[in-house]
Amino acid sequence: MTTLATSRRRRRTLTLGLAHELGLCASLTSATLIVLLGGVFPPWVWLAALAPTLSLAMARGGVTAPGFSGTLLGVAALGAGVATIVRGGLESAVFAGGATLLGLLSARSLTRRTLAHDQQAILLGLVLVLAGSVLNVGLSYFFVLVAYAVSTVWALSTRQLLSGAEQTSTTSGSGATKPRDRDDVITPLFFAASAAVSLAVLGAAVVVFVSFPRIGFGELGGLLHKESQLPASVGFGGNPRGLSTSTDVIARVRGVPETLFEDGLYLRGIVYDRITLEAFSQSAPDASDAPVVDMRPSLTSLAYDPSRAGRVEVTLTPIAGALLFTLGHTRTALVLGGGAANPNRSLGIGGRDRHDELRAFSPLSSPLRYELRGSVSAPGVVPAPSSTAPTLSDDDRARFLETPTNLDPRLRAIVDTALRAGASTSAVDAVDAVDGDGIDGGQRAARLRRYLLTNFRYSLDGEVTGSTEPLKAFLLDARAGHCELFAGGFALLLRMAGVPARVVGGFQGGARADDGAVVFQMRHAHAWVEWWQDGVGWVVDDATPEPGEAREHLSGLDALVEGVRRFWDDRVVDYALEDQQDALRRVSQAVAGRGLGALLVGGVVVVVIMGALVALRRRLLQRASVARQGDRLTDELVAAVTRLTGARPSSTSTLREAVTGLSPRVLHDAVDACERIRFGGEALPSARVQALVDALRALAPPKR
Amino acid sequence: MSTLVARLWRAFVGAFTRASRRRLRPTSSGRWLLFLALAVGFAAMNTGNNLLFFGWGLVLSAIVISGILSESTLQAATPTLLPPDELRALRDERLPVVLQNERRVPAFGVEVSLALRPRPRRAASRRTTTATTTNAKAPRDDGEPVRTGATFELRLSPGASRTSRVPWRPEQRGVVDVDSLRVATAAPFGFFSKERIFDPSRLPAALRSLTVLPARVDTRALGHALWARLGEQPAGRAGNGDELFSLRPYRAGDDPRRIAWRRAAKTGRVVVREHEATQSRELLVDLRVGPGAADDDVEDAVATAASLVEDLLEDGHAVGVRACGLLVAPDRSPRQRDACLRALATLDVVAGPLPSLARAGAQAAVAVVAVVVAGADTEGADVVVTPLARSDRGTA
Repeated sequence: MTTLATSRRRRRTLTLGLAHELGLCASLTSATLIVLLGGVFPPWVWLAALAPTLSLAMARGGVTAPGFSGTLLGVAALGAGVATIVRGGLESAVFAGGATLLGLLSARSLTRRTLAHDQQAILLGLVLVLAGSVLNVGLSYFFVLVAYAVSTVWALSTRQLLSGAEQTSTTSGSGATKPRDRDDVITPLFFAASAAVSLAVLGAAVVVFVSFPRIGFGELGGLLHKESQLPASVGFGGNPRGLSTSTDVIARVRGVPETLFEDGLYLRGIVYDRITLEAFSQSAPDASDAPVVDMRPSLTSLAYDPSRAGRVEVTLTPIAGALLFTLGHTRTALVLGGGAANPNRSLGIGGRDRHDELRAFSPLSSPLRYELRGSVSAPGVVPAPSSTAPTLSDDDRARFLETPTNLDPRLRAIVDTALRAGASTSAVDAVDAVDGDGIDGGQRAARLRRYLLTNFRYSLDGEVTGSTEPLKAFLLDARAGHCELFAGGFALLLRMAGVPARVVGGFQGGARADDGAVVFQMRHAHAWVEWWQDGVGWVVDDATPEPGEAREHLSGLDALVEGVRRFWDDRVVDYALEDQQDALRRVSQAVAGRGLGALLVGGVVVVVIMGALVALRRRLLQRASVARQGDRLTDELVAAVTRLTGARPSSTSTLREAVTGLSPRVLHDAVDACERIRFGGEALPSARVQALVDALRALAPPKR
Repeated sequence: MSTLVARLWRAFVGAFTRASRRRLRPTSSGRWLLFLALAVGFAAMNTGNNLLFFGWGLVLSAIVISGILSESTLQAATPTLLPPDELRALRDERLPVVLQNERRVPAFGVEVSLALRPRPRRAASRRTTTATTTNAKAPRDDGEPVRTGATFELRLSPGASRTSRVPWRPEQRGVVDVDSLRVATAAPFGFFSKERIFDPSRLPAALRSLTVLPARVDTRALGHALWARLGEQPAGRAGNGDELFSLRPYRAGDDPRRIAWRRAAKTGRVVVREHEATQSRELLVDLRVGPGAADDDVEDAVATAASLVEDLLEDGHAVGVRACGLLVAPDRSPRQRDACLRALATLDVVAGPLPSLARAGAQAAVAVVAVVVAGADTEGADVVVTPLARSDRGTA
């Protein structure tokens, strides 16, 4: 028996209003996180990430901000951005823009009162996400972007439903349930539809990303240069580099033999030539004041050293401005790609500056891949001789021998003790050696290093924190400290012993992946020493006791994370026109290589599968069509009876009973058809069903 | 072969026809999104920043997918107009529209409205050349369709149908043709509003035009006053009146108090008194328009006449209506109200002679109530009524 539809009780708690608020909160929070995870903002700016959550709490609590507060906060954010640019110059425009957008978004989300405000906040969030592509090139960008896309699709779709419903309920004055309180919209079907739309949006974005030709017209990417995050001055009393546990990748080095890795790699970065008892620093850190020596003419003339050094490839993330990290004495350097914001353009090698640092022409905007040839330095390894003997000018020699004035005499005593302690001869011979008669710089360095390694211990406990002259406290009293203290103390003692020396900041050790690449992360930060030996050049030396397991191999989750990061850097951030051309070439080769026969077989298989799918679909559609015909006729019959009698038929009556006593013939015809469909499973011609539906709809109630 | 060609041709024409029945407009946020897409595209190509390309792809894909989904929604929702209840001018009405989702995907955020085209009337130009129209709600004879309000369905499940009530306030009486049914959606993102326009030819013929009855004005007090003024007349049959009608022999069950004892004493037969029944008079509401009548005054008069007819019929009188070119004979049958109101709804009001009562077979004793505009002739009228202003006449 066909009975009329009965209503089902539903128990749902997620109302349309709450769903929208949650989606909006997630979307805006993701947008702020995309920018903040770039790491360029001070910690207090992270408060902006809390604004959407606070806004959600305010909305749920019925708290609204005064109307003018949004304008005030927005103007304040704009003013702060302009002030940042005025103070920091054009270089700070990107930072100022990001900060301004964060301020505007926070202001809008905290003062929103209408759905139009929500839409403005979502658009601001989108602009922030686009700005995030400049401020955050890390892998975190991708993950947060996925969260952003999903939540924004959700927020936009629920906002749109709310907007339409509220507009029409306002105009019609309907007294039905408020749209925000509707709990029959956010169903599992809506979840599924929203998720599908999110996936489609992300998929289409990937297609655009992969396929759109990278045709750059200009060099606007110059605006996106990233300034150096390496400090030009390192205080001995501050937090040591060894405390860093960050796994942010600094560089990847490929082509390093395993034996060299086991010996310990030193990724050479910034050079500090000034040493005081408080800090070591770089004189004239501004590269524009430092004359750059153009290396290009000498690149072809320098000999490749087959014994000790090979060819290594470095991928350097843009954290050091124009400074390029090396592995030791670099004879030639060749850029392989990247570096500029536009992956189709490469930065050139500028040369060496007065600090003997390798520099690019301009600060890096994206990861730079370059090849180094020369020697891989390690403590005690003397560079191979070259065709031209390295020299140190008198000015430079004086610079690298400079020591703080009014040195404590006990420091001189330490030098004497160290040099004597290392001597195997008599005490008199040792004194002569200190005077420079018997031992050279190398021997002095060895004895000083041995003295430090023997009498000092490595510690991150901050024994010298608070001291006015931390280096003196380290050498004379504490005798325990971190790498910066060891490097600074070693360099100072070397200079006091008459050996030109300098401190080098960089990264040491690294972690080796399965494919042989050595990954340097922020936690590998280190400081060491280079001292000068006439006729040989600068020699790497390190007096820091090994703080723990220096050689590590990536495995398990770490290896997986590194693989994903490398894919992101190589295939996404560094994706260029060449990659697109390569992909096209591979596709065309694959197609050409298969031959006509394979294509035909493939085509037949595809046609057969498609035919089977079409047949299956038609069968399913036919079944669904019969059910829909029955439902449709039933609905129309009920509506017609309701119109004619002024009351809805009882839910327990059959269709036949519902039309009993009503004269229009079409009602009875429709019941007959309905029963044929329902009980006979017979699909009527759609024209016949449509005619019945039209006739039912044309039935008007009797005139008064 | 010819069949195949014909089918292909129909599909080709249908594709273009379908395309012409869509309307796409960006919303304000959609315009910002388009601007953003252009700006980001320019920036991405000139910086080569790959992540910017990714963000740009996100914006472009949102635009494209928004178009696909809104089209899917519009394809899913099919509207059909149902016969509405009585429509009155200047009253908030609801037009019932069935929205049916015949597809297997749900439709979200569907908005339904109608475009209606009032049939033009030429009465004003024929009536006078000096009449002025200051009311913004005056009949629109320019042939432009008017849009009703819209109703919004949050969700339409696959295979479901739902009856929506489209709000509409008719501004004038008369016949309006259904120009189109429109289904619009800004879903899923609210950046673009897409509209699908359905031709009325798919509706049953009876629903392609709607009749709007004249506006309702409050004439109840006027009706009572008329009744008191015109009174009742003897019906020529026994009933409950006050005047003696006849004497007749007593029948079992008669009220003993009605026995005429004096007559019974004289004749020896028991007789009872019968009174003559009274009946209300037949009324004819005349609509008399003089030359130079303003449109608003004429519409007021039509509304007054229609409301008067309605009230008098409700009070049990036999009422008819007459105007130049229109005569509905007095009657009190249930259909009379509809006949009079529909006749007035579609009336082309012109100044001129009224039809003779004899044409409709009306009795000569019928009382004539004349609703007079612009100093029209009042000869033969028992009562002259000044039109009442419609409630929101002159308001925007």
